[in-house]
Amino acid sequence: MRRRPGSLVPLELAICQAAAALRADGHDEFHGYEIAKTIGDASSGRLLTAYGTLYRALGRLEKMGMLHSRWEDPAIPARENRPGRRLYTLTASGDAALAEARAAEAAARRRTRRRLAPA
Amino acid sequence: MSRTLAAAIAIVRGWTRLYTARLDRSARDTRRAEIESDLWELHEDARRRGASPEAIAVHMLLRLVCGLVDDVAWRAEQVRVPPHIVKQALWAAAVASIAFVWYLAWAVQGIESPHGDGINVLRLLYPMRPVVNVVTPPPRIIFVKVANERFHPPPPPPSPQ
Repeated sequence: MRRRPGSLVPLELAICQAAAALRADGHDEFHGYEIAKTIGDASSGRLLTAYGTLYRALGRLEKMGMLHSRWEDPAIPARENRPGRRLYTLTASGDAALAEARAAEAAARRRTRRRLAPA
Repeated sequence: MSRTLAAAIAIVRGWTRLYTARLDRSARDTRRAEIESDLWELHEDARRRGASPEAIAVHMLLRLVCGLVDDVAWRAEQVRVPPHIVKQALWAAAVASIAFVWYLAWAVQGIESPHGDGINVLRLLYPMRPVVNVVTPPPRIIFVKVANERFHPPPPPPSPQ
C-alpha cells in the first residue's frame, strides 16, 4: 500500500486510538487481544480484528516507532498458568501521529460543515 | 473443552505453524507465541462472558479466515519477496479460487437431484445447464370410470291439503 510516510491507515489509527483509550483507563501496557477487544467495543463490531490483520498492523506500527513491545516476565504467565503476553506501549511518535490524525480529521469535518452551511 | 472448540484451536495453530514454517526463528516463535496468547485470552474472555464453546470456535475460525491474506503477506515480508510478486501471487490465487469454484459447480451439477427444491446455492455461482437431456415421459392420463348414475332430485315436499 502506497502512503505518505508517517501517515496511518484506518486500522493503525484505530490501534493508536485504542492504545490511548487503554492508557487513559490506566493500562500503560496492553496485549494484542486487549487492543482487538477495545477496537471491537469502540466500533460495536461483533467480530474482532482478524489475527493476521491485527498482528501484522501491530508489527508495522512497531517498525514505524509508534509502538514499543516487550515480552512479560515469564514468571507471571507460569504462575497464572497461561501463555506469555507481548505487551505494547504507545510511544511519543504514536501520540504525535494520533494527534496529527485527529487534527486532520477535525479540519476535514470543519471543511465539510462549511461546505454544507447555507450561504 | 468441546470437540468443536478443540478443532478450531487446532486449525488456528496448524495454520500458524504452516505460514510461519521455515522462517527466521525469532519471527516464527514471536508470531506463534502471540497467536497462542490471543487464543487463550479470547477463550477465557468469551468463557467468562458465558459464550458457548461453539460460538467461541466460530469466532476463532472467522478471525483466522479474515486474516489469511495478511498472514500470507506477512510471510512474504519476512522472506523479503518483492511486493509485485506478492501482488501477482495473490491475484493468481484469487483467479485459481474462482476457477476452482466454477469447476466444482460444473462437476456437482451432474449429481444434483432433479427433484431438489428450495434455493440452490450453486445456481447462484454457475449458470446451470443440464448435462444430459433427460427425456421426461408425458404425464399419464388416468381415466377414472365414473358411475353413470342419474341425478335424482329430492322429492317435493307434500302439499298441504
